[in-house]
Amino acid sequence: MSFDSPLFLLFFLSVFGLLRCLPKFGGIILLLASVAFYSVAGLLDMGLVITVVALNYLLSFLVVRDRCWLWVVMLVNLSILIFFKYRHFLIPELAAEVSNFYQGEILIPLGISFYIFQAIAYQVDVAAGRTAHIRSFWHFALFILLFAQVIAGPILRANALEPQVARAFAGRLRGGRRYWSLGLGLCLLGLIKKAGLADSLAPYVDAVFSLGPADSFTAWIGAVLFGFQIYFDFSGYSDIAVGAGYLLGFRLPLNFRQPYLARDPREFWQRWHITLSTWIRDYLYIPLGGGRAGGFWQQSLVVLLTMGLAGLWHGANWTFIFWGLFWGLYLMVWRLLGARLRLPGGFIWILHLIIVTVLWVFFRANNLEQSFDFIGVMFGATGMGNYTVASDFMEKMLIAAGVVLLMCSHWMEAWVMEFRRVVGWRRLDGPVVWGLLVGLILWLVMIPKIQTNPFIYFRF
Amino acid sequence: MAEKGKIQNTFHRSARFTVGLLAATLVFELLLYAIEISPLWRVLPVAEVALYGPDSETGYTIRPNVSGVWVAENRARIQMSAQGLRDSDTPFEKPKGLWRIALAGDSITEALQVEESKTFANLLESHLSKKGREVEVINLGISGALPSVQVARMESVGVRFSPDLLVYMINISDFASPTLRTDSAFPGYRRDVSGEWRLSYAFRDTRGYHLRQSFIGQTLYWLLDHSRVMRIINARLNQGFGISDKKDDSAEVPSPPSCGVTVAGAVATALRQPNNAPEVRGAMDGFLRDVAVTAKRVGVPAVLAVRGLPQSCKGERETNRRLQADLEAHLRDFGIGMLDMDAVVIMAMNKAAMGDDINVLYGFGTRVGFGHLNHKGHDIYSRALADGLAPWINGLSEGM
Repeated sequence: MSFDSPLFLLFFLSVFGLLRCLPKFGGIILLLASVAFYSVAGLLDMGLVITVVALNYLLSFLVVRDRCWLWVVMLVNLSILIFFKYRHFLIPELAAEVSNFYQGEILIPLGISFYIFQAIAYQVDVAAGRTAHIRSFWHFALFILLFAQVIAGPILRANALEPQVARAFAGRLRGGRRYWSLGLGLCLLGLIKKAGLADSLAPYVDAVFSLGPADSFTAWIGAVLFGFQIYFDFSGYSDIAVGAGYLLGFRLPLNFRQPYLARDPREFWQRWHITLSTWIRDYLYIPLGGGRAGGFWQQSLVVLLTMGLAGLWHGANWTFIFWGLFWGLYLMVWRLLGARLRLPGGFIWILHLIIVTVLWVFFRANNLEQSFDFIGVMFGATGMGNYTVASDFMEKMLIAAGVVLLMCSHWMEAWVMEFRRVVGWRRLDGPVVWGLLVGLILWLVMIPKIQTNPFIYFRF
Repeated sequence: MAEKGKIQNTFHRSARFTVGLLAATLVFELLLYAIEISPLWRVLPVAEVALYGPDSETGYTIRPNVSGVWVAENRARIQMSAQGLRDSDTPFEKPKGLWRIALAGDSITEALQVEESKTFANLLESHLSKKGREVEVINLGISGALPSVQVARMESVGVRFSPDLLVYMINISDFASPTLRTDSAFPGYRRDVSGEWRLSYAFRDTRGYHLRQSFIGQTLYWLLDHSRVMRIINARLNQGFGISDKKDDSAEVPSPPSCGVTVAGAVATALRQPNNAPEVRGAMDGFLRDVAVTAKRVGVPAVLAVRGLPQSCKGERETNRRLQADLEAHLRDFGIGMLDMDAVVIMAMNKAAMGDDINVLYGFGTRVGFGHLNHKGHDIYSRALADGLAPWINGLSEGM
């Protein structure tokens, strides 16, 4: 059940209504709703997520007693993840099934990377004493399954979510009218990004990458549009998840802060998929020795390894591994040279955007050969296909203007999301604004789909 | 007192919420309008134009002067003519000395996926003019038009343009389609009391047809023409509210005839052994008789441009050749000419050094090989028709 479908709107309104009428049963309603929501994915997916919940719940009692059980927890969770997500990568005979990663069927159980990571983080935090052990199975199940975030995050920490889960079961959810506008506003923003922008860019990106760019301009436009498509798609999903959370009485963390405004790679990762970035930092980079004593090369090795694994998390393909490794390399180079660069800020920002755009090619291409060929075309090599986005100068100018408009939307979003402005707008809160926001959400959901574009991160 | 205050409060809140909802509808309407009149219509979501309305002769028809954006497969701005055609405004009265071809067909001919100037019907005019013949092509194409609808449309609209040649773009599989023999949504061939296969119009008695013809129906069409929000609601109702959104069906159908697909088999049987497929044969002969009657009444030749006879399938060539010969002979009995559309298309492709893979003529972007004709396809179709129809056009020119 996709967040941008009329069916989800109906489902959400039903859950919202039930929570308003029966607040005492908040936890049970949300748990049942989450199970119903996830069951749409299919019986296999449902069975798997319940197995993961049950196994982690039982193992957490052993982890509390003895930290050594953490190794078993890791083994179980990672084995499940590897089997269901990476077997196509490890067994060559199955590789053909994922030859078209972005346009084929979604082959992995829905949300597996997200809920497995959330479970691992919980177990590590329990072992380290950073969070309380959840003793109730129902609380633990809702912690993993909460429908607003189970499929594609944000990846939540137990110390942030568990108290809210406990409040839901105690009938004391923090939902209130004063948060409705904020929640609805975030849902609307997410839908504008997904239904209005990401889905509109998808056919052009698909065409450039499937048919191959005939010229350098087309290749650059394809890569830039993909950068925006994936941003609008994933941050749109996250905004809806956070907004839905507010409406239900949950505070979920924002997952994106306009990443293309970053001026260096470090800042980019503080703005892009923030909950995954911090997960990787806390549960991968630091345990591997990152940020601690050690020479430049030792630290660089840790960065490369971390980013390579972060790339692999996205998908079972060498393109994702190389995407991560090149990001690691970029971070290393920036650490070495960034402070010494004596260039105007705007120039550094553009340079950084160019690098980010080139790296997106690895993320989107079907294989490494296509990635390198595509980048070659971007920098003047002969076209690798027959697709061109513009046949004359005027068309090129129009498309370039469109790209500038997309960038402007990024600035506008930063302006809208500024904390003091959000606080200021809450003064307008009231039934008229609720009606306006609900109405716009309704109309955006009503827009018929010309082609099915599931949220990209459902594939991860 | 407190209870009364509470009710009043709820009422005021609901009223203000409704004001918000109405404001959202207005904002959305303006937004869709702004997108449509700016270059953003090529990319951003737009409300697809609603084209069709009821018609007593053909069941449904293109409503005159409707304009908007077509979205499925490829975006194009659409402007229908005052006569309800996918064509520029053309007076019924034919200027002296002008030649006219009335071209009936389905969505391939209607060609909503490309601009009007790029349709093969339009390009055909310029190819024929290059051959020294000033010809006007009247595009009667309408989506979903089976032979029964085509002949009814030709009779009710096409002949009013005083054409010099009647052309029907027919898919061979249409003859075998059971829909050709149903009349609940548009005219279909049914056996009458005397055992003759004739056009039947049961759709005229359906509630849906009456509703569309009524004041309510006309008001809804007016709203569809003037409100983009209404078009969104209409399109969503057509698509449904299901778990997974339906894809655009037409883009999923491989359009060129595929090897091994024997839809033409039933037609072959109907031609060779009519007793084994009496219904297919009956409906087909009913259609051919009506085509011949119309042509005779107007006093001009009629041609069936038949699609769907696979040309390059190994092992099927002989079967197809036999079917083509049988069909051609059968049409000759009715005084109707035949054009093997796929054969002339491949010839035109060879001339243009494009090989003989007919798939490249269909589909847009990543969907090449599926759906409707793309720009290349329209260009090749127009060249193919210019060559293929030459014998009939020449014949007519001699008569001048």
